[in-house]
Amino acid sequence: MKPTTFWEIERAKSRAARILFLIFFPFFTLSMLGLFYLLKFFWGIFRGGGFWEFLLISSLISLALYFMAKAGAKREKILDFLASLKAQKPDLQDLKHKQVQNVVREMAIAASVREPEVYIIPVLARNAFSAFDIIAITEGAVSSLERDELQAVVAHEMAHYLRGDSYYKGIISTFIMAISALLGASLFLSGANKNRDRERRGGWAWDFIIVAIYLYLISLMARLLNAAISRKMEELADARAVQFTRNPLALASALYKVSRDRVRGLASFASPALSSLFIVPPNVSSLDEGHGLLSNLFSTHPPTRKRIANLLNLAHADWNTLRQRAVKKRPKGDFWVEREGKWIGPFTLEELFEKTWLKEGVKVKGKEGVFIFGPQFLQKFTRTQGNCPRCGGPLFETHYQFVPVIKCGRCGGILVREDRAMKLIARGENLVTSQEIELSREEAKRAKKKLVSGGANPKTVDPSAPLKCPFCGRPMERKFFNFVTYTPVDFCPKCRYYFFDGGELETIIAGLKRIDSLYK
Amino acid sequence: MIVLGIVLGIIVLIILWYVATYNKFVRLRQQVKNAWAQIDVQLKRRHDLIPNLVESVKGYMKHERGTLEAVVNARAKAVSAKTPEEAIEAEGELTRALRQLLMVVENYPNLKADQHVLELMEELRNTENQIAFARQAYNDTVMIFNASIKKIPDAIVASQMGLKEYPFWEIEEESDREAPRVQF
Repeated sequence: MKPTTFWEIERAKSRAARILFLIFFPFFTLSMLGLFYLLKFFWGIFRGGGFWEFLLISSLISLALYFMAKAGAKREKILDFLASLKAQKPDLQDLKHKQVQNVVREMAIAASVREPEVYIIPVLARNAFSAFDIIAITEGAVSSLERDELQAVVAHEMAHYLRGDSYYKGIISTFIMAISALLGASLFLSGANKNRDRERRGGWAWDFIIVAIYLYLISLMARLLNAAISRKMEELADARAVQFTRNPLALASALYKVSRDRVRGLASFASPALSSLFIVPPNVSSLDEGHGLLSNLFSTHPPTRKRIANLLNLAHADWNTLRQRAVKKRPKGDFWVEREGKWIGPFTLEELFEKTWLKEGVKVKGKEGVFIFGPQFLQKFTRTQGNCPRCGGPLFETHYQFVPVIKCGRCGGILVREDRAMKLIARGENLVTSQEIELSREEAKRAKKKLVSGGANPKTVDPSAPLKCPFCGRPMERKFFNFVTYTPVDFCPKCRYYFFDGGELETIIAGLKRIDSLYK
Repeated sequence: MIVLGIVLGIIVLIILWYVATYNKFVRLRQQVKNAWAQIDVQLKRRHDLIPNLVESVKGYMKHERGTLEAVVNARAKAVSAKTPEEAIEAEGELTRALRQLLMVVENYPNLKADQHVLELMEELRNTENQIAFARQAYNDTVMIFNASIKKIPDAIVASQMGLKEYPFWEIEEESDREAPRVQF
């Protein structure tokens, strides 16, 4: 139980590099040695070379590759990757993001290290990764995890950070890439020389094929080695995370939630080279969750079920506990609202404003009596600003699942800053009903029909006059928010605000959820 | 001649070992001090946070004057503490008072629906956790330090350097282990 501290990070890095040297260096060197013998045998290249000459050259190649990889394993590359995903620092006005930032700070203290940088990736997939001193969490994970679960995920990533695992993984992937490049070259040459051999021997280019098979076996072994080490790293990081948080149940529960929503990773947002950095593999494959020999050998992560079982064992808990935790708890408010002659509730103010059917004129019962929902109610309970671009109703500031938005009190339209729009959709996931999913299906169908006849133009779906941005007064652009639901939304390119008509947000959320359920 | 060589070799080895051990202890001591400083930073942060928190929940919690006063008083005591013993005791009291407050807040749904209060609660929870984790890190570091200065033969170097065991920051009750829980 030796806690690693800030001063030990450098040493952990060199320790990781040492493992690499111990295993990969001789492995790669011997592979090159074998390749030289094959070259000599088939084509008489380096004819004069003996064992020692070959060994020397192979060692020099591995060494050069090692230093190249070391120079190439740069945090700028990770920052580029994050930038390509439009990842951003946490939005501190959003309570959930604030929580992430706080949790990272707490874990940095638990591990006594300098605080790493945090990024939030605006995708719905639930995942997290770390590389160098960067920790990145997806919006989907942030939205679905409770505070202690976020803490556990961050602790897991912090453990990788401490051990310098990403640094090691970066170097090893360079070696694997080098082998693959050689393999590719030999396959290409075997194809290119096929005709040559047909003339000469009337057959396949056997020499090239044998070299290709040899290289293929080498790359297979390299992958096996890499997967074995990577699995060990994940197990160690899980253990270290528990040491930091002293809360194995939270990590088990986080893994449970994260692994149950991987369908969204269908369009994987990470390249395979980076996928071993994530807490669960971002592209679902039966390999990773299987129990057979193949998955035991080739997967870069231990089966999530096994990881969870280990943690549950530590926590003296069972799977039922996890299922219960997955049910979301919400605070109780004290507003009741009349709907179809019945009082329903209680809702908090925020929950109330999340209802799309809450329009002007609806009766709302609070502690201070009965109100009619409208401008006066809004003035009393919220901060109002400006008028709705769609209906001219009063706009007010509110939160939609902790995301700051501006909402219209009359038509339910929502204005949201561009960088918060994806977040809004991730958060809204828990709110849509099956009825809304049904509606969204109908709407998408209608939109598609119109598109077929009228061309791919958002104006054919929503032909109303362009809206004026409530902040700058310029006309807004109409565009499709995505090509799943074909929902036309309005966007102000100057203020960078989206306007969703009342119910449109739910259509989009439900549409994505519907896609999701197709793959379950 | 051979004997002389062996003796010289042993002396060189001993010097090398001495220097290495000395450096290890210097590093460990620095780590313990750093861990302690972390706790201090967090405690100060908590002191700064409390007036704000009390101010914003006061309106909602007219019937809980006693709980709020306990927090305010404990904070005043902690801020004015002179010796470490006083500080440890006052901080313990403050921790208990805050925990009580957080429990009471659970009974006020209005409070939990207020975005501003939620933010403050998150801050408070963050601070409480940071203190708990800083304490955990401090205790872990102290454990390593205390164990290593007692190990033979390193203990010789330790006694020459005049190193003494650092005290653990003991936790008063089992329930203190757990960070306060604020559910959203």
